Amino acid sequence: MTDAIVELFVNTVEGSVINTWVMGSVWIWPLMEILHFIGLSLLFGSLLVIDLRLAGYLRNISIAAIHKLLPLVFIGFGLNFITGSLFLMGDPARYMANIGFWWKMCLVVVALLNALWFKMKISPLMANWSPHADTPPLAKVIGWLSLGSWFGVLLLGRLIPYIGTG
Amino acid sequence: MTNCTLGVVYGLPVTRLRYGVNARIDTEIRKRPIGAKAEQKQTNKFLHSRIVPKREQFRLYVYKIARVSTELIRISFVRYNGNSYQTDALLHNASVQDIRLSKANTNSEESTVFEALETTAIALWVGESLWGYPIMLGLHVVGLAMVVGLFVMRDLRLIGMLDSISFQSLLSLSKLGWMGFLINVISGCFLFSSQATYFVTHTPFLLKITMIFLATVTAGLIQQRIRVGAEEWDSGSGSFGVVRNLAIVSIALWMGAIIAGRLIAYL
Repeated sequence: MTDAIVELFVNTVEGSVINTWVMGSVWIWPLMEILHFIGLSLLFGSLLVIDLRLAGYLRNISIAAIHKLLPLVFIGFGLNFITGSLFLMGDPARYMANIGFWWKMCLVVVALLNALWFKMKISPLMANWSPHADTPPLAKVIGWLSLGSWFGVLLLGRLIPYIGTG
Repeated sequence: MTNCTLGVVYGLPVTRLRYGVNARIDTEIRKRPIGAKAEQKQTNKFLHSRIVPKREQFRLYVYKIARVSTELIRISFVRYNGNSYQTDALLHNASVQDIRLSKANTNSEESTVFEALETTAIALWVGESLWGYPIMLGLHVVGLAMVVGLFVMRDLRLIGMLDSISFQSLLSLSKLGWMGFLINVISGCFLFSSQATYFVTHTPFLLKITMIFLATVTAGLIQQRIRVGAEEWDSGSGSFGVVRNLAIVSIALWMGAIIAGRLIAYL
């Protein structure tokens, strides 16, 4: 069943306009990889600060800075979502067969759900927090979960060419 | 003359072929009994290599490759298990193909420091073990995200963005960046050791190292100015002087290092 869906996806995407465009030039792929790397640096770099502050570290960074840094996270994520989708459209069979890719996507979903959790349970309360004080236990959990999942995404992403089909 | 046949498992499209490719011993595939279901899977190209147990995979260390056309490359020299092999394999886009290898004449080239480095036990572990190279690459990308992410954040703050981060806290943020830098110096040395002779003559690599060196010097200059001026800047007084220009140069250098670094795999 899943094999059939995967095959349908691969057959639909291969030969499509985007697929042909991505694979059409030798330079598109490296260019997108460069953008993907810049995106991941913005995403992970700012999340490192946000998550460590949520976990109660870096207390000389004010709580207000967490919201100020979010645009950098969004730019990084947006950049990588676009370039990542183009990779997938460019070579669907390779990614669909790659167990590393699937694990990476699972972790991205975990990280996004965790971000939603932050948005609902933590973000509204942050205005009341003292700017340089310790954080509540739930914020710590969410901070560490975010760091852990994005760390995994980074590692698995880099290992995609090496992991294969499991 | 030793001959053996190898099959490339993850025959990456030519535009993306790495210096090393993952490979497995082809004869092992045929030995495995294949049931009806497995056989059906085998015809399905993207499920093909599922039938091969992991332990039979190894890294084939590609030594010399040349692009024949946009779709074809010729591999002329590989290393496997510490031995050098000559081959004349043409690899096509993303396909599983046989490579026939024969032992190479190794006495023709004189040994250099970098050749000696490449044959150390550590370099061989990085280059030829199944996980050595990927582990180092994984660490290298985590370190990269830390260095570039944190240093660019610092630079953006100096340029005038992200105004709720105090200038005084930039030094502790930079410490995280330096931690990433350290991770990358270490993992980078491991990666370099496995392909030393190749890297020392490879323009994108030399360009990348130059940019990283300049970016590091720039980071030092910026921190010196933060140490002196942060308190005044936070209170709204004091002049920024040249530090904003340094921040722009720093961003450009790190972007350049990423671009050159990525191009290592392509040029």
